[in-house]
Amino acid sequence: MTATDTLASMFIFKGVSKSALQEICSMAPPVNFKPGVTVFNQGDESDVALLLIDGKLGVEVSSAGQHREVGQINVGEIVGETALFARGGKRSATVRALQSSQCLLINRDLLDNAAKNDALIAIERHLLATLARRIRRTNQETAKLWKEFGMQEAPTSAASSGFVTKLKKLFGGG
Amino acid sequence: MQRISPADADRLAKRIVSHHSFPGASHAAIERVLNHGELQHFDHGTTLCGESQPGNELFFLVRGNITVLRKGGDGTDRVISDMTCPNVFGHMSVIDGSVRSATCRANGPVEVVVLPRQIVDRLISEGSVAGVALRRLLIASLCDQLSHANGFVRKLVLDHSGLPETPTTPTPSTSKESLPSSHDESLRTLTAKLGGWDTNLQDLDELEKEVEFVMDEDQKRTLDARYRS
Repeated sequence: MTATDTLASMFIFKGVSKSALQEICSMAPPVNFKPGVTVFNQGDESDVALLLIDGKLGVEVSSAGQHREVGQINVGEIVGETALFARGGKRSATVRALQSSQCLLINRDLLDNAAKNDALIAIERHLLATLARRIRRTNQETAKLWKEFGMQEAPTSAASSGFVTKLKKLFGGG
Repeated sequence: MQRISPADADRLAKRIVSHHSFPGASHAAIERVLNHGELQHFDHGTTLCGESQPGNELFFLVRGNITVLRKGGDGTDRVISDMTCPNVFGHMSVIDGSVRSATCRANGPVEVVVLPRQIVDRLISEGSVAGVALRRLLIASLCDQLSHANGFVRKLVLDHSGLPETPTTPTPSTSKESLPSSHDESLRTLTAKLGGWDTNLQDLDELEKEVEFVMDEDQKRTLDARYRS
């Protein structure tokens, strides 16, 4: 199966012409990652996002001196978009290939040179929907957390106390 | 239908481009977006969009202030922010078809450019200059929102966990440690549920200073003012 065929089978490219997919593949040939290979590291400078078109990726975050596996990237998902579209483009997580994987790399050159390509438009629309869904989910979880913490004892540190006091003012909890 | 004046479009577009950095950003392209919408004026106290209501348009704030409110646990509206120019709001509902997450009310006289859903849908589906600009402006705006939201959640959880913040030191995956406490476990679960790895934990100190709520960075100004008072 060619990379174009792989893209054509993905739901986000439904209705996109094969010529548009071929153009994208010729401008940004998909990149393969063997299992265990690090795709990028937390803290790396970068301006590339990836669309996973085959395989599976794992996401790890280092904090408080520890590593946490925080999720997996499945086919059709985009990772690293913040580096492209927001200020301060450092990677916020380490991403590794969990399986033999193939990604389409989306960089500024592609965005500049293929702005009218229907496949790229489909990717950007998919990204819009993905971001909106993530924000809704995060807002819901924030509200839940606030209620949960509002019923608990006050935090011990002065800094935490100040922060939570602000939250209580915001949400009216306590 | 009244359009935004060329002078206002030029001013607003330049401010938007300086506020957001996204590929292909140009004030001329943003001006084209603004010219697809209708300029509308609202008096003080007018509700432009209401929480839990369907959202059929997005707004570019041209002039004035918008108060953002959300219902608290007791059902009363609570002010969570003010928005000033430049700001795009109301776009989440237009993008995903969900209801409004907050109420936006004019605080004093307000001018906005209104883009109805059908125009937004058309623009974000096409490769025109305006279409590319709108699509990428919205992506950039959502990326900012998500980063702030994730940072806020992580800060909230870490504040309550009592865990120290230490510098990020990536190590090979083979040296991963299991998390010791149930609270850490809940943090890991929560972070996984949120897909919340978009925000660098090293930014949390900065986030505590900057991020007071999850919707939009412009809300920081209001909160700063509120807590000073």
